[in-house]
Amino acid sequence: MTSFDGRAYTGAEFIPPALYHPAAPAVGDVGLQAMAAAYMASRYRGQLVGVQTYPMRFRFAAHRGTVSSTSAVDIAEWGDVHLPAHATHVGAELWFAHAPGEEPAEVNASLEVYDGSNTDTGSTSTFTLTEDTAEGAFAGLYTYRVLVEVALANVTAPDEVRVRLKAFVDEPTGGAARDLTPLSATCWRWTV
Amino acid sequence: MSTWLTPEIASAFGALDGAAFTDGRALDALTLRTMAMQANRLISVGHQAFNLVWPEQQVTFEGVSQYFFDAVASPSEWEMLHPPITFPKLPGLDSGKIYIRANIPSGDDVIVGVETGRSNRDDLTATLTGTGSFANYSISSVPFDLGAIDQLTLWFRGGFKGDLMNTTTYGTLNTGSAALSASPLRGWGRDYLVDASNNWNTGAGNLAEAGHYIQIVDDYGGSDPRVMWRRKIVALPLSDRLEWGPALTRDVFLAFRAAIANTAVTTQWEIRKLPTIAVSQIMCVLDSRTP
Repeated sequence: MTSFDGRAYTGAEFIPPALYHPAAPAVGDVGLQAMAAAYMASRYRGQLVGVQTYPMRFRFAAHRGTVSSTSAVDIAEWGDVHLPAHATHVGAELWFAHAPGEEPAEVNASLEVYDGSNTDTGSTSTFTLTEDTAEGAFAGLYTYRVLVEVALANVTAPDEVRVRLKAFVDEPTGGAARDLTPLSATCWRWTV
Repeated sequence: MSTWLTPEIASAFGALDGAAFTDGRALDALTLRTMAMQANRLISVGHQAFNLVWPEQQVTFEGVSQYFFDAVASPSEWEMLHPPITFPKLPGLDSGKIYIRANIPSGDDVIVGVETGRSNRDDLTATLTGTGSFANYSISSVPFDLGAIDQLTLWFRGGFKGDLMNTTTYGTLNTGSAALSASPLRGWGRDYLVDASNNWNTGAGNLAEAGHYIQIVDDYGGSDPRVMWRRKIVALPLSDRLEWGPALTRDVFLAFRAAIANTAVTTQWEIRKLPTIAVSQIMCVLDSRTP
């Protein structure tokens, strides 16, 4: 979605009455700010595709739902998603835990959008898991986050879109599987 | 502030009739005012950030009836109640309200710490008072980042109001002072305590597994009793030995050992029950922005 003047409006300010006072020579400013507000609101409202969490406090899932694989596994999937025509990208952030001492290890994550007939697959986001790349520690595990995104090029149907977040952890050169414990995943769309 | 500077916000959003913008026609004051009010409304109205729900019905797993999202509170140290939740938001909205539906035993307190891009868990806490059934709690005026994205992490710890340990269920004793010895388990991040007069049950569902904490009270039974420190009991390897964590600092540990060895000082330990919390909903709604 291109704004009326080609600029990216990432914020907007309130319009005070002084600008539209009958005697105010600022009609142009009112129009400009009103359009900027409309553009900003359509860009940032209703972006959320979905949130999926896997709290470690689930006693029912005492095994923690750990993934151990050398190929992509569906971590989360959101269905019946509506993507407005001006959405250009879908992205997700995955928080996960990984056991220290399992190095070398590398996370691989990607996002896939499917509208029933067309698919857009994002490139795989990869980084090595070390103590330095950890965001924090919890329950004896290091916690990490990885960001993935996909540009919408082929998907055309705006409704009933499925969005899949895939990930796995293995040795950097594609060796043995390592454990990945999902903690939370959030997915949203945006417009460039 | 002057009324000419205080923005007006429309109570509902509706499009202006296209006739208002007829080519070559001057815009009147009412049209301009309507445009401005509606623009102000677009950038000011709050929205829901996320809504997460879990079953409230107990399920039987490995022979034990429990809630789906069930946790034992930690007495002295923050523990993460829920992993970080990232969410997109309308830029400019900078506060919100968190709704938590939870089951906390009657008489117990659980303290929740809220961490966002503009608050940390120590600065923004709320005490949830137990009712014995699922109840709605809310935390208002939570500051959030002004930008297009923020992140919420919930932490929790116990409110230190737990009853003394049930000796019928978990064995004896639940208080003590004499013939006590304690040692650090360096490298394990915990300390332990041995008292030969104890006879705690060590099987499944013992006092460590059920969730208890130990606290040291100075001038026990006196006019000025003071809790010196509290720690969560993390293991019960023998019927007369329990381990707590995290470990005490060396200074505190030595002072504690000296105090319990000195019979003139009425220092006594207590084992108390940790409050539990079962969660069925976490929701966040961003407040509307005001001029």
